[in-house]
Amino acid sequence: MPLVFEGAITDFAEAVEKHRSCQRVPGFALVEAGSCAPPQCGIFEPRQHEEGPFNSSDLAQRERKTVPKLSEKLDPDKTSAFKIVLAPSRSTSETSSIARGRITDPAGNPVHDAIVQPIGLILGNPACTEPSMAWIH
Amino acid sequence: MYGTIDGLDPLTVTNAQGDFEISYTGTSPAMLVEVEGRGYAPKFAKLATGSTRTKLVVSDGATIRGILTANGKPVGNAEVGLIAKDRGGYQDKLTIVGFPYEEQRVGTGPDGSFLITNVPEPVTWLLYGKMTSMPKGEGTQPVEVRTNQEKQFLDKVQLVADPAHTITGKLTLSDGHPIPEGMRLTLGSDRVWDTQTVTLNREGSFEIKNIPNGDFCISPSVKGYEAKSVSNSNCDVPIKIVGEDKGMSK
Repeated sequence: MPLVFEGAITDFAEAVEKHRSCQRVPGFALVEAGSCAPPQCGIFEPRQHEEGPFNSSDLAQRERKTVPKLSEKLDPDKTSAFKIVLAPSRSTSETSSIARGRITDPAGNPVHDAIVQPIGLILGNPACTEPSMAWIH
Repeated sequence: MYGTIDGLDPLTVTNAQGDFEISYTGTSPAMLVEVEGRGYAPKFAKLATGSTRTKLVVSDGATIRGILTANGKPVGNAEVGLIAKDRGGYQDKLTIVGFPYEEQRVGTGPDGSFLITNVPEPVTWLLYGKMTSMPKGEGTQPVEVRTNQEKQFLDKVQLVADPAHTITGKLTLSDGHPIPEGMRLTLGSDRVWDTQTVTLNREGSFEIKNIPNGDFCISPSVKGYEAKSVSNSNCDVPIKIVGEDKGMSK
């Protein structure tokens, strides 16, 4: 089914996450934003180990202004300006950035009760913008 | 941006499997962390965010044992500090320069002995007696020690206190007002992680004792006033303490 993109999207993540955080129905994401190419720049990547059918009527029931409307009235000429990529949504818990590690001694034995303290982190997505640093100390 | 970071876990503790996770509510491709396990040397690590679990190996580190003396006698109940000679810091892209480990401090026993365990290696360190813990009129020059390998045992390190300087001075405000009550002045060593803070009286007079030879920085802290810097450095008032005459300096 070809798609026509009619509404402006102001917050890609919000459109998908807030309406679909509790439902394992694939959302959509999304179009070219600025000079960034998917899947970078806040456009979601497929959820691991999850699959589901795309349901256009489900999307059309949304009333939020930030949600793009999908129409079946098609004009191929008008659609050529947009690039639309559909991808499965993910839950809210996956929107944060998580660093994972495992600490062992030289023999490979796990080291429990070790304290791991962040010192700094890179903010933002380097694929989109000049990364900035944030430091604790 | 410095200080706390909203949305970032302040710390985490590994579970029985040695696993840990640190969460940030925004977008971040990588974090720099410091790991401290009981009985292990501290370690820095850069971690990419995502589903991959990074394996970090911590080691025992080295051990430094020595004795602090003054006039040939052991100095008990003093405090000994250890800081990397090249403290370095952090740069863009979470790059570590030098060895920005926090200062390690231990006390001396009645026999002047001290023991510092789980010291990272390979690093060149500066060992020193903390100024405020030294016997009256004594101070130490930093002693350089190097840890080269895991489980290394550096023994019989001698830390000797010598007669030190006393600085007296007076702080004045440009508008002639008296010094508000409770204001302070701090003297800090340029070379090691050691400071002394004294409270100023109404006239602004101060006295600081137990200062060994070396480069220091004086930083007055008076509410509503700032120092007119006398140098191009970040230090308000840089001073150099030199000489064999360890009496009063002004």
